[in-house]
Amino acid sequence: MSDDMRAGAGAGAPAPARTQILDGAAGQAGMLEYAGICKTFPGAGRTVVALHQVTFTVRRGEFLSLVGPSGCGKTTLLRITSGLEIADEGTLALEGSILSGGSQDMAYVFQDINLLPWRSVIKNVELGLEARRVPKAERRERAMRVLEMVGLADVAGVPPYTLSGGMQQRVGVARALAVQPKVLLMDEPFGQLDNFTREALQVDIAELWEKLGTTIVFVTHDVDEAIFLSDRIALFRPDPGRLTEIIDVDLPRPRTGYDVRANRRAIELRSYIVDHLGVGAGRAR
Amino acid sequence: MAREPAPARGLVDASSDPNDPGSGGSGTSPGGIPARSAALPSVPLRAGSGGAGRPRPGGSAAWLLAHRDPIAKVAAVVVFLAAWQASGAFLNPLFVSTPGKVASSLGTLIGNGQLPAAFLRSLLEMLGGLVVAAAVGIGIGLLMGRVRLAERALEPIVAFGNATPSIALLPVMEVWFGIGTAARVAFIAVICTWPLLVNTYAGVQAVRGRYRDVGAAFGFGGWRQTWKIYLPGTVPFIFVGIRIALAVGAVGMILGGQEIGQSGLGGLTADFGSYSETADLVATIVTTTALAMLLFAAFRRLQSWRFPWIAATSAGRRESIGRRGWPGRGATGRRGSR
Amino acid sequence: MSAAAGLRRQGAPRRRIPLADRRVTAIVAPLVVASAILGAWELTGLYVNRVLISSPQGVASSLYDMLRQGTINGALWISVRELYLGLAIGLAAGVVLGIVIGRYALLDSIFSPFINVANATPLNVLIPLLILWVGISAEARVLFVVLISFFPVLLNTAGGLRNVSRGYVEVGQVLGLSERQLLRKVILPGAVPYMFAGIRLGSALGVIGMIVGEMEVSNVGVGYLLNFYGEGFQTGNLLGLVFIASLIGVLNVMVVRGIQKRWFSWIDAAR
Repeated sequence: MSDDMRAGAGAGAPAPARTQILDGAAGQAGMLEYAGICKTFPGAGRTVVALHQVTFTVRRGEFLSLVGPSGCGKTTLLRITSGLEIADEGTLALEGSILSGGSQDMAYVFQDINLLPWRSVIKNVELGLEARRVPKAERRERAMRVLEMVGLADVAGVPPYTLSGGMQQRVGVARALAVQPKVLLMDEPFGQLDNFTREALQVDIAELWEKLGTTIVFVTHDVDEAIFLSDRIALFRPDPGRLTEIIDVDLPRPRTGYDVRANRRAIELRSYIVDHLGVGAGRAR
Repeated sequence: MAREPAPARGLVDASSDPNDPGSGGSGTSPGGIPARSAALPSVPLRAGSGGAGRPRPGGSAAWLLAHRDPIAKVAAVVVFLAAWQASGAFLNPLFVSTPGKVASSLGTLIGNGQLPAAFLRSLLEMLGGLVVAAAVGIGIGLLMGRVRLAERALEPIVAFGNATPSIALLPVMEVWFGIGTAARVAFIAVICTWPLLVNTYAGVQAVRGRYRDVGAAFGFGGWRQTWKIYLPGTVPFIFVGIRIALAVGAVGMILGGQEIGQSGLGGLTADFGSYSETADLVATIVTTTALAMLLFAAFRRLQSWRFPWIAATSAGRRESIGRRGWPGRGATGRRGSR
Repeated sequence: MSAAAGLRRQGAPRRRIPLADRRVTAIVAPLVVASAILGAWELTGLYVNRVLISSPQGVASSLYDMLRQGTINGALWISVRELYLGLAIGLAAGVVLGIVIGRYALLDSIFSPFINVANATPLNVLIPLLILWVGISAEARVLFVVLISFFPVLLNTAGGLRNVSRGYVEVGQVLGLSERQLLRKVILPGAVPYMFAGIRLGSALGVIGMIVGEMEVSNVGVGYLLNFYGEGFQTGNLLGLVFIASLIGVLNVMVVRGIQKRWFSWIDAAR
């Protein structure tokens, strides 16, 4: 795994601090540890190496984004983390215990939102609590609380398809938060939404994270989104899908207090990332 | 008939689970899918072990397991035939006869030409009715789709006609066309027209939505547009219509044979039935099934020859229930792999 | 100055809506066509044997007589009763067994050859056999309706269970639902749209089954009456009865649609 900096990136500006990819015993216990994760998919005519020897650690309480172009395996990695897929090789540990199929301490937010249409909003949120056999009254209470957190307490009883995309995804987030997870996995959660809604939800997520302190692993192909939200950004490249480096986003928090896009450091980071990912647009800068 | 194809046919199957011997996801706890993470014994996933070490039986056991689908099918049929044959010992053969007797009936009836003649007659009447129905149904469907005035004028009338159980028109056909081939063919034609009409119309509407301006932009006139753009786009829908028409038309084919004179396979069943010749009757039933399956097979052949992708999505889905378990089963990690 | 320019000066000219798109056309055009058909029918009666063809007027008056004298009430009552009894059994059995077959792959393997064969066959070929078994009776007719409505529901339910949107299933899995919970809370509800499609199909086939059954296995009921009128060349009555039969069909469709709307309104919205 090359740790070399790309020539020409952000000429003259200090490079982003690249963290050691495997944190080991850096004083802070890792929340999630990936070691040598490999995953291959048999495709039409050729085998796709979705992930190759992915190794890194997610720190407790951090907001980590997985960023890269399509097909670089970041969604696959997230699905493996949640248990929806199983890696061909490698191990994954949550707080030291090795997982073999997801965990009740993690929750997932889908790109397609996937609210069950036959359940009302609040019953959708309660679904995870039903799985954990929480008694009815407590379920309702916890679900309402979390709906209030995302600002949808007043539509608790409606069918989900009457809501706009942004509101539906808020319900999706609420559903995930209702089970009080230690790690929140989010797979391009705002990908289907229009720009305005997306920005509003980014702010909401940032605020929720500040308040709750949950560890969040966030997959996105939107570099700006990642810079706005994250403590660190893990960069992935495709063919084969691999982690190339993790960089620190050393921008002051809370990020909602200023315009991140206009910030000099943010622009440097952005241009570094874009160059690094090999997607053309950044080069001209 | 139902205007929209049943979703089990009409929906692209999102879960393309290959035929994996669906014995649940690997490495999952029996009661649930994701395993709890707390204090798990370490289960390192070794290289190449695929999905966390499910025990692999060796040798012949493995072959049996892998082929258990066709084996189960064959076994089921064999058991069924054996039980049927055995039933002849204590059940009055009047009721179901036995495979042995039915087989010999088949031999006799084929030998003396009765079955082949009936088979042919039924088949020809069916095809004749289908052709007429196709001409009328597809024609009107296209007309309604392309000519707005026709659409608005005909829509309520077609809706009413489609709701009428065409089967009820059997005596009417007899009154109008007499007791003979014309009546039977007309009956099948009336039955088959509606699904063809309705589905063709739906097809043109769908194409209209998508490609409405393409033809105009390229400077095609009305007829050429219909031919070059609408027709190809409508054909998958027409195929759905044909599929439905075959199913309902076959009912009409047999009914016509039973009721309008005694002709074809339908006539034979009525005949054998009234003389309580069960073995011959069952033999005829078997032949009818064969005819029906032949028609469907021919249809699928035709469809996959010209439009191989249709079977992969909608129409083909309904017939084959050779699929495994839930979409969820084995989804933990099984996507795309064995 | 051209006339067009003169027009333009008065403000935007009103656009002519083509004939086909006007609101009035939606009502008038079908009436025109219908009248044309009825008129042609009436005229044909002048040249072809009126007994065979009847006429719109003849059918209308036959209908009126039939309804007024209650000739067909008995038949209707019997037919509808048998239809709904048969449908209740056939549809319910189809759903239940569809779930079983969808759930247990092994059962699916075992029964699929038989189910596929039965589904391909025009089931009225079995009627003479049915008559041998239970004679010409209400049981035979109900049994036939059960048979004919059963298979589409079975297949669609089983298929539906397998075709539940993968996204929903993954939600359930990732939230930690047990196998049983997943089945109850995600897969069964998710299969409901498919079940409904099967039920729609099954009930349409049931109506066909009712009529066919009564034509062949009966001396009562609508189907029988149809045959009766046909043989007696009472074309007016015959066509009137056909009209009523189509009302039964429409009623069926409306009932199913109503049930869906009342209890399963999410089906349309979600698809």
